[in-house]
Amino acid sequence: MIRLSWRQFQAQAAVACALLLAVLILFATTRGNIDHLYTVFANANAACVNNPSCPGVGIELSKLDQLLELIGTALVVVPALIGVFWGAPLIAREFENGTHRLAWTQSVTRTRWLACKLAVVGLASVAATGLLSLLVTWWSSPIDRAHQNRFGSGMFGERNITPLGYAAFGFALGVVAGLLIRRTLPAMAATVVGFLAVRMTATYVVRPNIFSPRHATLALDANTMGFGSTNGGPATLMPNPPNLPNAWVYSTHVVDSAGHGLTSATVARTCPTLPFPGGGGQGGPPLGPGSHVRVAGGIQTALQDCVTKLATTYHEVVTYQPANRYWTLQWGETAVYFAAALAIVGFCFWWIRRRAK
Amino acid sequence: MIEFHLNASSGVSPYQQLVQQVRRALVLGLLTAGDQLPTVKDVVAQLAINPNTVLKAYRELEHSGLVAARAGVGTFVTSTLSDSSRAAHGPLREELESWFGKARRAGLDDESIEALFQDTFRSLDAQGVA
Amino acid sequence: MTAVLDASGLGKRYGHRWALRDCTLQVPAGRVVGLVGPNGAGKTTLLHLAVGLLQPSAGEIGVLGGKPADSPAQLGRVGFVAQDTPVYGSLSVADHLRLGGWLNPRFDAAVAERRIDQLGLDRKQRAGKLSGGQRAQLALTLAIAKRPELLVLDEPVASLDPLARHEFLQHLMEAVADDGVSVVLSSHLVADLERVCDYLIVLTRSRVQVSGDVEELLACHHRLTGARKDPARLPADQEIIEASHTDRQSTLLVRSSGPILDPAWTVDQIGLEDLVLAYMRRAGEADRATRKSHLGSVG
Repeated sequence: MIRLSWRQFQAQAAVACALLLAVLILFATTRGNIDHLYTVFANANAACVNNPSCPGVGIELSKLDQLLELIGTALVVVPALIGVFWGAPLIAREFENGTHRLAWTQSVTRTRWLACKLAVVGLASVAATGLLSLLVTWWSSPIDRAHQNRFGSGMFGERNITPLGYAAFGFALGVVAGLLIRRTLPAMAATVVGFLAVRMTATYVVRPNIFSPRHATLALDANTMGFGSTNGGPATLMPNPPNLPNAWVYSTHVVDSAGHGLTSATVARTCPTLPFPGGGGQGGPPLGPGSHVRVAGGIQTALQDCVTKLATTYHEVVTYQPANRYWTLQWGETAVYFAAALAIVGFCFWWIRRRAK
Repeated sequence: MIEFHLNASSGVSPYQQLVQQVRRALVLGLLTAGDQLPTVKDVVAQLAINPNTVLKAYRELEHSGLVAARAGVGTFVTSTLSDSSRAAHGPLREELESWFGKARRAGLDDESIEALFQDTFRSLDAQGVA
Repeated sequence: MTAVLDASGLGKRYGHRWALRDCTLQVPAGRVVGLVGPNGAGKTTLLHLAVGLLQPSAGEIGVLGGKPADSPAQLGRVGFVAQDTPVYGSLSVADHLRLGGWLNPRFDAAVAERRIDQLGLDRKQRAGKLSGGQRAQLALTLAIAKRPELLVLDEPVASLDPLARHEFLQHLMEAVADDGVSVVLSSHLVADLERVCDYLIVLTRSRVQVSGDVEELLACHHRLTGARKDPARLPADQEIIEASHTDRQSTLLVRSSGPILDPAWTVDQIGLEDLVLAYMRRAGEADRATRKSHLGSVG
């Protein structure tokens, strides 16, 4: 039955191998260049932070390199694709075509049939995703060294071992959807919906609350303060991200001793010289922890005065997970996803033994 | 070697048709002593009938003393229907032809001729003559 | 001899509906069994129960002395071809032969290869591209090469043209002649079964109407024609299957273990197709009567 499972999987395996090979070649040939680019950038950035007359450091990537960075992002999608294209049709297609009536009346039991199919394609799923994650993590290591943001919500699932857990779970979810729904297309749809729901919940609801975040209190610093608005809201002071390399920063807020947030009105009252709506002010997305954005010309003085005035009552509070929790969460999350996958697989075996049709 | 055929709508059961065809072949001299009948497998492969049907027909022919089965080899004809009777075929055929001519001239159509023949044959059969 | 199929009180229910009910059979070995009935009668259900694709809701079924699909050994003794002969569309003919070997320890690859050559199938051809007749032959080859003791075929020739049908049955009968394998095949066409089957099961409306050796059934069923007569006046050992009357004449289909001696009747033999039709009609009558009495009691 192993040989049959492999034979049925051959076409899909060939596609995966071809894609992995392409990625390997692309990454191998461009890694040197990326390494060089980002090393220069990181050095320039470090120098700029300590240099008051340096406005900032930017990096411009070629189209190709931008596309290659996208491969890392694609890693997020791969477990879902595995669930949809490798997991869902595994059993559903057999039911749809009636071939289970051929397979279940040879000389292998239903349990062995399921076990072999799951083993071959499941292992392939995890291995392929693992390889891809290895390639992406390796290729991106200069970028990660420069930006030091691998712990963020998005990046966390695109590096190291978490994709393995996602792949196992996505595959298992696809298989059970196919087993219960018995039609390939609806099973594929259900897999996408289910997978997204679980990943979203785990990433944005569960993960932030596993360990209580730490809070760091910093004094307001005019050198790291920006002024602007987000999403068209009222203009206010916006601190740059703190220098916590590889930490997962939840938020940075300016609050007073009682914990009340700094309002736009207070800023307007205290610092009438700042250009409010209609005016400029840079407060766009920063380039990374430790970097900073300078405010244009004369506004700089106004901003410095403003910050000095407010610093007596207000300070900055940073909510974050420290960098040393990264690997705990990586292993923990991977283990949980694998456990979920195994639980689903166990259910599949139970289902196929009990239900005889 | 003879070849069998089946008439699904004749009302005669398949095994009886096989028996009849062997007998007819013997009568007409198509089969003589020592000839082998088609194997069960060959008959079955050609006609798509149940092997038991063929076995039954061959068994009946064996009971009638016409064939004998040799294990592992096949079924062979042991005797023909009385050879002497074949000699009489010629003159009998002529008499039949003359009778058919008479029946036609009397105005009987094919069906009436056949019905008359069958009826007479059966009633003679019942009386134990034919 | 062990019955090749032994069912007692067998039934299968889906929700409120019984697909098969009160099925009791003892089918002897070495036969070619025809399972006849209209569509939806429960034939597929019975066959799926026999090969372990379904579990009974009521009663029991034994196949070759064991429970269906109990173990790999039991699975190996029974060959099955499902309705519409499913095959793996993207795998080639050669792949299917290999599949047979991978999944069946007793698979006789030589027999399978020989048959494929005889059939003239292209080994490289994908199974999805084969014609209906070729697919059916491939499925039958796989089932036969497994060297089973029992072959179960669910309407194998229903959608085949006459030539393909004939060739399929030729192949099947050759296997029976060669190996002595018992066969159970279902059909809703009686004509197919007449040449091939020596045991009959008539299944209509989820119940077995009659079952038995074809020769015995034909020997003990008679058509009686005669002057208009009240059927209740027949002797007790003669069971009336069907009766129809005009103002002058009565025609009865009767099942009787002994000979019919009453000279008032003209006694005729009955063909297999007529026998099956009569039992199928009888089932319909019984159902209508039951429904009427239900309505009567309710209304």
